[in-house]
Amino acid sequence: MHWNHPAAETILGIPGHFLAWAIVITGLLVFGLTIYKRWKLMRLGRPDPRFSDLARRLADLIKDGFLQRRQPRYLWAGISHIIIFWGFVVLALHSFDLVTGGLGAGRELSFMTGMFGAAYNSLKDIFEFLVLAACLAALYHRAVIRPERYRDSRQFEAYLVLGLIIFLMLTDMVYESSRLVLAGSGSGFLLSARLIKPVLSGAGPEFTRTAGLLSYWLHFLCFFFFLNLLPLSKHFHIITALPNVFFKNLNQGALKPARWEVRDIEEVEDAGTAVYRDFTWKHILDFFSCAECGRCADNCPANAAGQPLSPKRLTINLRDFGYSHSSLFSRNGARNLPVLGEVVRDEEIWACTTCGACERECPVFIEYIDKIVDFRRRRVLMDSRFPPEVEQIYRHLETYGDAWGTGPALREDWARGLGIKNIQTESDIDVLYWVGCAGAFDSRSQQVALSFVKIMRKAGVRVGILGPLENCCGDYARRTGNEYLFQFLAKKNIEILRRYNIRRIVTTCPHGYNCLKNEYPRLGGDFEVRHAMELIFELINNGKLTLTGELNKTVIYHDPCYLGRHNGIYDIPRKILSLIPGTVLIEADRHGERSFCCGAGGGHFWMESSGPRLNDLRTDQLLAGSPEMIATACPYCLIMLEDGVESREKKGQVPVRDIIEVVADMI
Amino acid sequence: MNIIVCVKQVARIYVQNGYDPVTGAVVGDGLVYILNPYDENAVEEALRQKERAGRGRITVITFGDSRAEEVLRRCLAMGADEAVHVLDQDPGGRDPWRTAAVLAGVIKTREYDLLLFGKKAIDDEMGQVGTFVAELLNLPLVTSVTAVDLTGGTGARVQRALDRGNREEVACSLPAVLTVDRMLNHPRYPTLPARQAARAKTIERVDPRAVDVFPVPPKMAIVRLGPPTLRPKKILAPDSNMSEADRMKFIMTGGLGDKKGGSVGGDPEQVASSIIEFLKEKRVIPN
Repeated sequence: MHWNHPAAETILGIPGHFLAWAIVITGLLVFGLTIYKRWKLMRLGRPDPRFSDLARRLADLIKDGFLQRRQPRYLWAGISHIIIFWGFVVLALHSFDLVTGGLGAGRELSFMTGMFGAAYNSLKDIFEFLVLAACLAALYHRAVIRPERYRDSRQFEAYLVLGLIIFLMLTDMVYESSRLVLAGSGSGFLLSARLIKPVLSGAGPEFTRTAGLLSYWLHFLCFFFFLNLLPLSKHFHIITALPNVFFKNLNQGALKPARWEVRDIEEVEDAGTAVYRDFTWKHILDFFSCAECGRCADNCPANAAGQPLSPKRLTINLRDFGYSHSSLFSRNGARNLPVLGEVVRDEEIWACTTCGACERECPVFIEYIDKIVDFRRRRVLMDSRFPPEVEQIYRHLETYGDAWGTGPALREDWARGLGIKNIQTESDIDVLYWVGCAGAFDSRSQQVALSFVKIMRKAGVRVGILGPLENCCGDYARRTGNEYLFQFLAKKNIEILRRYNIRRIVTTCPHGYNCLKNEYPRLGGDFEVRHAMELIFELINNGKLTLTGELNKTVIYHDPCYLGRHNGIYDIPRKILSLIPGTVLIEADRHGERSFCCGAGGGHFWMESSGPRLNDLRTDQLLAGSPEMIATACPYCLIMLEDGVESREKKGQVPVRDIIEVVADMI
Repeated sequence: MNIIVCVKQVARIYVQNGYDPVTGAVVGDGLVYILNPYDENAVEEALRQKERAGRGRITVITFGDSRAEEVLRRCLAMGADEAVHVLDQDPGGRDPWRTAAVLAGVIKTREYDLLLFGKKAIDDEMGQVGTFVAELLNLPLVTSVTAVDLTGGTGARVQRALDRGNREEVACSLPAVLTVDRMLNHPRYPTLPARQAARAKTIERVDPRAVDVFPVPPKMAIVRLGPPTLRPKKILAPDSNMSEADRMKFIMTGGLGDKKGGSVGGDPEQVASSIIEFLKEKRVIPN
């Protein structure tokens, strides 16, 4: 018995390598044309600077791209995917070898012989087996277990691709096995080939040769068929996912400006997203990269409450719209086609609370919040078409500088009689306490502000406030799409903070914290900003604050979205609680990065809602563990959860408190 | 469809904002200045009528101090075509006849089909200027307007508000003066491009001394200006244990409604007897 490379044989009179060249050229040509169409579509998009911090981008590409850090968040699906991904990576060389072998009529690549070849072939065969197993597991998962998140998108494509990968693995296994049988021995320990070997040996050399030949050419064809399928399906992510991860958003917590290329909102023409070309090129790359895994929608609180928002549907609809209007030869038809109101409905964009759960889950780092806010910007800044309750808040912010509409004269009322220094008259302070609108005007949050001042005094930290000079940080305006009002408020605040030489700021509100820390720098406001949790923890560690007394309660901590997901502060509040003697800390199923939004974010604190309320849903989740107290670190979460507890008629039984208040009781 | 709208910048005194809670006097520090809300409705109506007609010019005029330019910019940002600022050198304690005389003097040099005013200003609540301007220019006047229909050929069909939700329909010829109520429309929120364009527009500045003012003698003299005589008023702060909704209700109604006595039913005789019993019981009427 001997073995001949299939490309060295003739098929129906045609030399094998002719066939190989024909398949390769046709395959690559068609692939090239589709890629060109996709490239043209992406180039439609507006500028988006994604080339900063190359070292960090590279490091994150390795961690999140190659090491697939996010995949195991859904454990079994994640493991299957990691196996299949690494299978592709490892098998790439083998595919290259097969193709070049075909083109060169059987000539082997020089480095594939010898020690390296043996080692590689062993590894590749193991992976082939693993990939096959993983694909079968994936089929079972999709067809039998049928997770919720896979619904709402085409199943055919998924089954087709799994089928193709299985086919590719099997054909290669048969081919390699036939080679093993006919040649007598192979390079390396070929696990997969050996598994098939008994079948072929038993069937005889002629059958083996035919099987080998057939498998080789089927594999070859299938490979190029699969390659061409990629940019036409959700499996385009195979090509675009790694670049998408490389180009991910590094600006934690901050929204993109209205237009990257224009600094001042006053100069922006055509704000927001109305037509396809208003997306940035990165947004369009996002559309290409969606694998329809559904993890985003699975974690979206609005989606859980039955509201019309599904981040997955949003991305898929926008992708399909772009694809269906791309052409090869004429100018891109999608360019000026309206998207907002047509492909994306208004109720979808207003349902979002900007909690960031979708972005935290997505394995390919697709961004949703910026896109939704850009839609809102179009509605608010250009069309003047947005929920009427929001307009009232805008008027309050413009006229009074606060959402409540109470006015600057009363900003210091909460502190009346306390003798807190006002920075207008006193400059020897350690830190500026940014009270925030809630702390100043909401009676419940005022209690938290008072507790905070008590703690600062006990620790000997000299705290000053802006009083009537403080305006709303602008977070509400920004997240509802009113970039103009946001800049108006922010510039006022920055000017005042700089006028009084403020360097260090502490705040009790995560929205203000996020805004001042992550969004003011771009407008010229660079300050050292900390949340009260950070400062209090530091003071405890320095010995400036000692906790006495006991709590003796089971406490469940609710992670505020703007402290947790958007700014990565999860442990400090828990550590503080744990330092209080007698505290038993329990966790909700959804905690930390998977915390469930209280429902106030994205402007929703001041919006009407229909259907199940997010704060009620979250309260149910928290009460499920039978806590004796719910703790949080955000004034809006505080109000929302208190309302939730009351609607569940547990008022008085389960107090909701800010950790600041709890600490203030212990000093 | 050329429309002139007269607007005023007012100081907003709201709840406890802008006045000294001890003396009750208006204090300058806490004041915020806004476009008089009724005037905003007037501007909005002008914009809608122009849009309906498909063409025309909207001119806004204010007689105010230098700060009043802000409201003109706001009107331009809503969509007004041009703005005129008559600089008031002496804003303290303004006589509405004087304001009307100056405005009428400016208006009479221009072309217009309609003159719009807010029915009153929320700072002095006088509601006189629009009326006086109509008198000086000898134009038809309809006040407290809640709907405007200019589509029927010549003239206008206008609805105005009476008490208890009733409406009166009035027909008048154009040009006319209308003073508008808040129920007329919902003013638009300015778009970004409109704000940007407004910033760039030139405002026509007019010196009142250069205006051919109607000769009207001052009809108002300020006798005394001082803080109000205080009546002790208890302001109840809402209990923070209440829900947001209850707290809001409390603030707006002055206290959670706790009706005493319940309700009575039956035929009118029975209802009357029950009420009389109740009043006697509460010693409102003698037994």
